[in-house]
Amino acid sequence: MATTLGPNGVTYGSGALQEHFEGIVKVAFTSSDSLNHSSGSGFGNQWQYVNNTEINMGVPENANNWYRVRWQTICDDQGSGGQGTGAALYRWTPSSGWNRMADQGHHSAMENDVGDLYWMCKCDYLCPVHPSYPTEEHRFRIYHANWNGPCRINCGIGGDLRRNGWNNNILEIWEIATGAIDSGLLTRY
Amino acid sequence: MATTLTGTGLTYPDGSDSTDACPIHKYRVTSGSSVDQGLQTGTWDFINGCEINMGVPKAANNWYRIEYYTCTDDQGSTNGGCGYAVYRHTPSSGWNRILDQGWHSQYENNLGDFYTNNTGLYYVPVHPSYPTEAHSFRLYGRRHPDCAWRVNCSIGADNRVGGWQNNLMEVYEMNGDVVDFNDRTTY
Repeated sequence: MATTLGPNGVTYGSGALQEHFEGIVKVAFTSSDSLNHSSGSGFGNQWQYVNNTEINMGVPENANNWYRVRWQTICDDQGSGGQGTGAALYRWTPSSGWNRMADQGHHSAMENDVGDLYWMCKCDYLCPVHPSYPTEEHRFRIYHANWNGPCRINCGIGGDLRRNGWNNNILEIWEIATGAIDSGLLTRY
Repeated sequence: MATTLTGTGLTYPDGSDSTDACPIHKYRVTSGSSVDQGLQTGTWDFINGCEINMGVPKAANNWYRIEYYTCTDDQGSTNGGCGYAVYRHTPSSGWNRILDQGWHSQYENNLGDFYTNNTGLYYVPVHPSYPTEAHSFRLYGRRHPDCAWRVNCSIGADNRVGGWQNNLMEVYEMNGDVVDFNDRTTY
């Protein structure tokens, strides 16, 4: 059976009918090259760029599209005292410059002086196309902030196998078409 | 409105436009089958049931997106932790450990009873030497140091159902022509 264009969509040779665009416009991923990266020291809002997490997603296909952002790393407290860290997403267009978007906060994972502790930090963000500059190139970065650190992220761990640019962390971004997503209560910014 | 071929792609009856190939070729999912599986010391343990056969990749430059999470628990009165590794198989290569978080990528220092969620997200290339062979993937776990550690935990009030045992493994085959892998090299 040939693939045909019909009134309801595309019918493939298998008989499967595709009625609308599946929704994923673009996918990109990278991994920071900064092994055992310090997320800062002291208390408060010291956001540190996680080196080489920048992804250029180009010009969005539609002004109402969204970016689904996923970040994962391995964290470690260092020394005594309660410590924590959290990840923030930054967005850039040529006209807006770099701006902090969604942010978990500087101790979204925190321990209260419990001795040596390692944990897996993961976050998911849904970030809109910049409403004022939808026809411009969009780039994204991950920053980490710190609470009474220095916490380290992208940790080297005994027995690990980090290779080919993967350093126990990953950032991936999917551009999602507006027609394929219900963003619930989330608004654009 | 009919489905139409345009100069840049395809327009569906609902007005949505497709201007490039779909990034996802294939999606497979499973769940480790051994509830409360204990991990060994000094060796990587196959997380029973966490094997997915993705078949022959559609192109040599494709990548596999692999994700795993599970609920874990220390057991006993020592410090300890665990971590997870991805293994890849083709008929010619056999099983090889290719990415590994390390054996205490999650770790606690004798805190008493301790439960947490463990996760892993990996992008893995098609085997550069055997791109025309079937590819399978497994998850392995390893603990550190000589502590008792269980994964895929049964938890009070859980509802493990339909083969899902408080853990999930997913593999996507991603189209290398439309995924930007930022100059990552293959292995």
